[in-house]
Amino acid sequence: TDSPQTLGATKPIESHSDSQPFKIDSANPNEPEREFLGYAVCIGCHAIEAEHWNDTVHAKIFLKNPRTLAERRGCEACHGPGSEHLKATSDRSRIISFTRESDLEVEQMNAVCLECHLGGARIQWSGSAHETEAVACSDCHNPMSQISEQGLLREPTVRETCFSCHPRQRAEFRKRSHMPLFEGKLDCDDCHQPHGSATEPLLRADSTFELCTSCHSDKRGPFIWEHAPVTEGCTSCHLPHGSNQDSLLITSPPFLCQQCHAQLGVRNHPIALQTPENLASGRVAGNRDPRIIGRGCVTCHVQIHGSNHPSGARFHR
Amino acid sequence: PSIAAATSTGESDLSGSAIESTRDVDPRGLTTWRTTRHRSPSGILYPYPRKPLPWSGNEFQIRALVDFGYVVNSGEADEASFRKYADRSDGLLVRRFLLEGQKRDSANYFEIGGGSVGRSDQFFHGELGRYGLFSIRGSFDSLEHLSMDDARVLFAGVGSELLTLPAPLVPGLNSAIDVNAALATTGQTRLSQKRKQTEFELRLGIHPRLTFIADYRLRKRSGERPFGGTLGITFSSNIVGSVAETIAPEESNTHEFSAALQYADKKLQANLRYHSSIYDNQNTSLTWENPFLARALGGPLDVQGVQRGRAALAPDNQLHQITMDLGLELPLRSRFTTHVAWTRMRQNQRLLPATINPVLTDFDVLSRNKADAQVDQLLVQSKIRLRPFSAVSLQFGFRYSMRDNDTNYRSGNPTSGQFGYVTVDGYPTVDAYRREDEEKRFTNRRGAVPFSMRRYRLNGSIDWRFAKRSRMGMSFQHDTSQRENRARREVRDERVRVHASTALIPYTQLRLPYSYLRRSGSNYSASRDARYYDAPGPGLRQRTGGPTRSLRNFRQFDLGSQELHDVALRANWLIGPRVDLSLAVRYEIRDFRASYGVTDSRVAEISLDTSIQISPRLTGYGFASFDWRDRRMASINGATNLGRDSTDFRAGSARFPLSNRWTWDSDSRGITLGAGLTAQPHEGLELRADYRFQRSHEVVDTDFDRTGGALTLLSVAADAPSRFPTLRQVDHVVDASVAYHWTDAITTRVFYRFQYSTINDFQQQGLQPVVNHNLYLGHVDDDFAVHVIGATVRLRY
Repeated sequence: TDSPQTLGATKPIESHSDSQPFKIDSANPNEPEREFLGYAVCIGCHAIEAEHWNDTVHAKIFLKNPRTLAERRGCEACHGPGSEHLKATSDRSRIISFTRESDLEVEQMNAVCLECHLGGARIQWSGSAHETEAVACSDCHNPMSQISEQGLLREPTVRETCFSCHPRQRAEFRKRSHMPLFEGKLDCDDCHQPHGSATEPLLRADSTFELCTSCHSDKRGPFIWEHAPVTEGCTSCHLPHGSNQDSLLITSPPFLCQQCHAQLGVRNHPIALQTPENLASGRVAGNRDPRIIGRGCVTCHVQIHGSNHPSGARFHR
Repeated sequence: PSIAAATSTGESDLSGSAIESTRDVDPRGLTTWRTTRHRSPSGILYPYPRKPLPWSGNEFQIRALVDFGYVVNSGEADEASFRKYADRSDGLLVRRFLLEGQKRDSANYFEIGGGSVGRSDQFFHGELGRYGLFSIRGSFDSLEHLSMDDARVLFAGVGSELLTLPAPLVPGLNSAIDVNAALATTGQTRLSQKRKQTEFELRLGIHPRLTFIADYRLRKRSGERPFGGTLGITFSSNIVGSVAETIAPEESNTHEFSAALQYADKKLQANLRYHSSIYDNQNTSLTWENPFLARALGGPLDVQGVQRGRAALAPDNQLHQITMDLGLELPLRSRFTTHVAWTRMRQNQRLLPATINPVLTDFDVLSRNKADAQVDQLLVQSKIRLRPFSAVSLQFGFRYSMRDNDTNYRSGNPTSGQFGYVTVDGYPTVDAYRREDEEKRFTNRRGAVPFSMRRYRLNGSIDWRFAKRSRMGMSFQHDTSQRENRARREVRDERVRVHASTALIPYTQLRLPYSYLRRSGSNYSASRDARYYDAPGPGLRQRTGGPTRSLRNFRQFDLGSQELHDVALRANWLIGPRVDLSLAVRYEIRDFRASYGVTDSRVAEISLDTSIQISPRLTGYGFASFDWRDRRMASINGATNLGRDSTDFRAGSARFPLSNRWTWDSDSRGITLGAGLTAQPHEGLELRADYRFQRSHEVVDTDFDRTGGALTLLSVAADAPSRFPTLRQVDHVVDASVAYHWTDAITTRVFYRFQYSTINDFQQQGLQPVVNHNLYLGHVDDDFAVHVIGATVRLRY
């Protein structure tokens, strides 16, 4: 196994003499004081772990360009000082670990990660949906191995990591119309920020409107003629992950539109849903009502997200 | 995908996930000492790690990989549903290539990679930097959204702003027979939009506590997409009006730029970010020639009608946003966080004339020539978390958001005092501009409705860790939304949520949340935007007339009162040292407390997942999901021409007689099943097999008074069925591959996919390009069966 020096470490791994006394649980008066041993001691026993870890971005920073005291500590930056562990290697209480068998609470495990990963989106971690549900960083991440190409995830891809707790979304992305997730053109974290956000669904923007129009910027407007539900959020009409309907719609037009529209118009348009041509087997062959076939209402109301035509009040143009 | 966000590599699932094409499972696992499998704190098995790719060289180290081969399809591989976002065509396939380099004695590195080279879904990425200090990243990602491959296009000029009719058709003077004859000479056209996204990002660690991030992204869209156009209403009549499914050109660029500073120490964390997005559309309008005869109501049938129509396409627009986040550690293990965002969205596109119809010369003057549309938004959100005891936390927060729309477009001619707008280009005498002294019964809108709103939220929660890895909590949230110009001025939401999670039960992790929401608010007004019909604008006189003609008892589901119960269960069972089983269940019931509009909805979802890790050489998985959604609504057909000027719009009135009442019930169900196995029966040989089944269907039932009532407009058989044909889609997908690792450097793989898909959509089934005076592109999602066979070689250095 490579040593820090063979891996190209340019700065010494912190020796135990440089470190301050360390306690895993500082509130516990019986907690023994622990000492840092250094990376070389760890890899003496953990050769396979080191081989995997050395290929991670953590190792490359810690071993090649550590900028803080913690980073210089190598393995012990996360696992804490190993002196007590060395005395009784099978006693899990003597080392910080991040798996199911760990003695630590989830908050304690996460606190270790947040020692370094403090800022950015994690400012909003406290009180977020994942934090409230006691999700551990190591539920999604495995910093010991480069399993994903980026992000040190537990699974090879973001979506597989998310699906292990959100299986319903896997089924949704397989529906007739869907975002191109399995085609590799986006992933869950293009829209969601799992580390914390100003929104409950952990969106990367402050609203669904802002989020969706960040890619679909032609729908952003502002238009001179606005459609109210568009301005408040796209999910009134669209299912964001996948749908049985075309265009991620929550249900078929004209029913989709008639959930809100009950006003009278020329020839009772649009409220008169139940015309013979609209019935299930009405005049299907001869006189199908354009509201029920094809794209339904939006064949005429083409600019349903908003119109910039001086005569576009009804989103026809 | 955005390099700032996603970690996906851009590769489709044609033959396994991306990572698997670059690295192999390490049979030793991840540990020197343990024989049991590792699990995450929630009890989920970690997968076996991949072997790190070896480095070559001494001081300057590199490693490289290329995975390439050939792929062929048989069957209906051109079907749009099969190729919607991924290029699955026959030919050479470069699945992945990767070149990485690093200086052994320093933290400098670079990386170049990509995949699907030369195909419409190709992607490339590169990165250069010094670990822990800075990185410069770039990426290019391409995507083709294939809308349809079977469009029957009548028009010439597809992809431009002008769609013209082929000879001998004359704009505005053709019968359906003429159009059908012209269509008979056309073939099938492929309509797709290409998206190409290029992105650069710089991350610079100015100081261990201070990071600067800048990002630029250019998203280019080109191609064409199905659009529409109307020159009059064609339902209830097959002689008046003209509706055409047209094709809109797509040629736009979106430039996005952001710059952020992130500061973090143990006491204080702060983000400051500026973001802008500028959308530039190369096409401002779409003009199409009228394929049918669209004439004035009551006018002679044989006179040439309106010759063309025109729609405005999406205007250029800009967004500018400044956000700030702050996190502050307080005494007694307390924490304060806040988020502030200010956003301005603006567009000032030059407006098109009110109509392209040359007959309507009175409407040449607009109230203004440019849109001058602007929306400002502000969000302030803060919360404080207190920890009076280590096991108890309290949180209090508030959120204020505001959307202020300064767009006040008035539709009218200030020089003549006319108001309203030209409803459709083809109807010069109906619902068009009107003078104040003209007929009052048509309620022409005079002004755009600027939707503005304010929302206030107060929330509090308590969380208690009652045992090891076990918590329970309760939260309360009160929201008040105040909207201008919507049916309900004030909407109040009260939400209570309780949740528990525990690992106390042996071999089990449980999470159980329940939410209750009650929505109430101010009186509901059916004539919420009456002032935009009736109020005078600059240069326009006051108009008298009736209010908006809506069913007064109708409730819009996003504003109306409602009660919601939402309960979920999430359980992980560690049923063996190498086996996981998880169950996710959710049930939601929503009562809208409305007689008309959406009345209620229910959602049920059940998912079961298992993961089996017998050994690094034999792993498997399985999943099953079922979802059910039921949504019901009721409405009343308005009586035609009866009491037209009546102001009584209640259910049961002459305008909305109860005999015209109808209901609608949508019942949607989906099942997804999947299983897979990866095995290495001999050293170097790897077998993979996956199967997935997905079935979704939706049944729409309607009910009405069969004695006449709702159907008095036109005759109908009293026994007409009330259930529409089931909307159904069924997918079977089999993926299999055999790989042989000849050496660490050379691997060959043969893969096979079979996909069989059937679909039945009553909105498409039997759809002909011409139905009366409606012209459709005639697209139908067809059933398909496709075999894909490919062989690749992976070389590593």
